[in-house]
Amino acid sequence: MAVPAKKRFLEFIRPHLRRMHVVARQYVSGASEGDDLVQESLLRAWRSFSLAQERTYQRAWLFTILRNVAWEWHRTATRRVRLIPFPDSELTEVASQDPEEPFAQLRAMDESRFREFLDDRIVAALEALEPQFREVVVLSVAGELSYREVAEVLGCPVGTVMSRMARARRTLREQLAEFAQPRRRRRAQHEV
Amino acid sequence: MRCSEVREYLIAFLDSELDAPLSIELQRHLERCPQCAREAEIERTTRQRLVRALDETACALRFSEDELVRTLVRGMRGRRRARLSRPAILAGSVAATFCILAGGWWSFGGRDGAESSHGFPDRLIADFADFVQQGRQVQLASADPERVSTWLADQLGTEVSLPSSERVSGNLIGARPCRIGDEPAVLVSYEISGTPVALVITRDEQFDLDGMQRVPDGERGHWVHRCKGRTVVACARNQLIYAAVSSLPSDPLLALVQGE
Repeated sequence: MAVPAKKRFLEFIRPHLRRMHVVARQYVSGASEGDDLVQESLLRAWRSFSLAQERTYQRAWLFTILRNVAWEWHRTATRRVRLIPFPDSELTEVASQDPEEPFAQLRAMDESRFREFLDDRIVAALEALEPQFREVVVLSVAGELSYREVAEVLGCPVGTVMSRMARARRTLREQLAEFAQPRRRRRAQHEV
Repeated sequence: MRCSEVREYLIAFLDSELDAPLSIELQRHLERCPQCAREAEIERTTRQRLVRALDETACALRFSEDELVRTLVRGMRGRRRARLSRPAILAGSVAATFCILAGGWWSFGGRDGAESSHGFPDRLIADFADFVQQGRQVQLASADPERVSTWLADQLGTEVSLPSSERVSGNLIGARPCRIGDEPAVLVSYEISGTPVALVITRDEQFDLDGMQRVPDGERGHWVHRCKGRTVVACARNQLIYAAVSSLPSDPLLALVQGE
C-alpha cells in the first residue's frame, strides 16, 4: 500500500507546488525559507495523507497546512515570518470602508505608463497592506484559490473573504494613488 | 444596477466570484457607464500586474522543485521505515527512485511537452463539476457569440471562433478565463435543454487528445471521452483545442467544438 499512496500523493501535490512556493514567499523572508516552508508543509500533509480519503483532499487543504506551519514558525521565531497570519480569535473587527464609495483616484497616465507604474510599485503597495488583508490577496491572486477555498484556508465565511478582499483592493488602490502623486506633494503631505 | 452597487461588487466580479445574475447585471452596467468601465479596466490591469509581479518569483523556482521532490521523497521514507520489512523497504526504494525519475522527466521534459490526454479530459470533468457547483459564474456575460469570440481572442491572444446561435440549440451565457493545471484557458458557458455545458478552449501545444477515443468524421474528426456520467467531446482546429463537457451525450456537444 505504501507505493501507491506515495505515488498518488506526489501526483496530487505536483500541480500545486509552484503556487505554494509563490504564496510561501509571501509568508517568509527569503527564498530558502520559502522552500523550507513548502517542504515542511508537504511533509506534514504526507503524514496526514490517507488513500482511503484521497477524494476529499483539495488544494485548499495544502494551503491550510502551509498557513498553519507559517503561523507556528511565527510563534516560535517572530523574525522568520513576515506575513503574519491571524487566527480568527485574534482578529479585531475594524470599521469597514463604505463599499459604495468611489475608488481612490489615480493620477492620469496612458496605458503603457500605467503598466510600467504598476510593475514598479505594485509589490510595495501590496506589502503596505495590513497582514490580514494582504493574506487574502496573496492566497487569492498568488495562490489562485477561489474565495471559497480562501475561506476554507482561513476558517472564516466566504462573505468575510469577499469583504476583506474588497477592502484590501481598495486600500491597494489608495496606496497606489499615493505613490502616483508627484514627490513634492507627497513630501509636503507627510510633513504636515 | 447603480454605480454605487457596481463599486461594491466590482472586485468579486473581476475575480469571477459573482453569481451569474449579478454578473450579467454588472456587465450590462459597464457597457452603459464609461466611468465604471474605466474603473473596471484599472482594477483588471492592477490585478494582472499583481499576478505577474508575484509570478516572477516563481520563474526562478522551476529547478528547485526537483530538489524539493527529492528531499520530500527522502523525508517520506521516514514515515514507513519503522514498520516495513526488508523486501518492502527495497520495493519502496525502487518506487521512490521511479518517482524521482518520473519527477525529473515531468519537470524537464514532460512538463514542456504535451500533457497526457488521460489527464486532460479527467481534469476537464473535475473542473466542470466545480464550475457547476459554484453557480456557473462568468466574467463576461453575453449571449452574442461574436462579442464573446472577440473577448476570448483577447484572453488567449489568438483568433477564437464560436458557433453561431443558429448552429447551437441552446443559450450562450458568457465566458471566463480559467486554467487547466497550470495552463491558461478560457471557459464558455452554455445551457442546452436546461443542462449546463462548458466549452473549454486552450492552446493545442499544451495538451494532446491521442488517448481519447477518436471518431473519424470527414476531414477533421473529433475525440470523445466518457467518465463519471460526463461526456467530453474535443476537436483541434487553428492551433486551439475546443473541448465541451456536459452530462449530455456527445451529439449536441459536437456542434460547439466544430464551430461554424
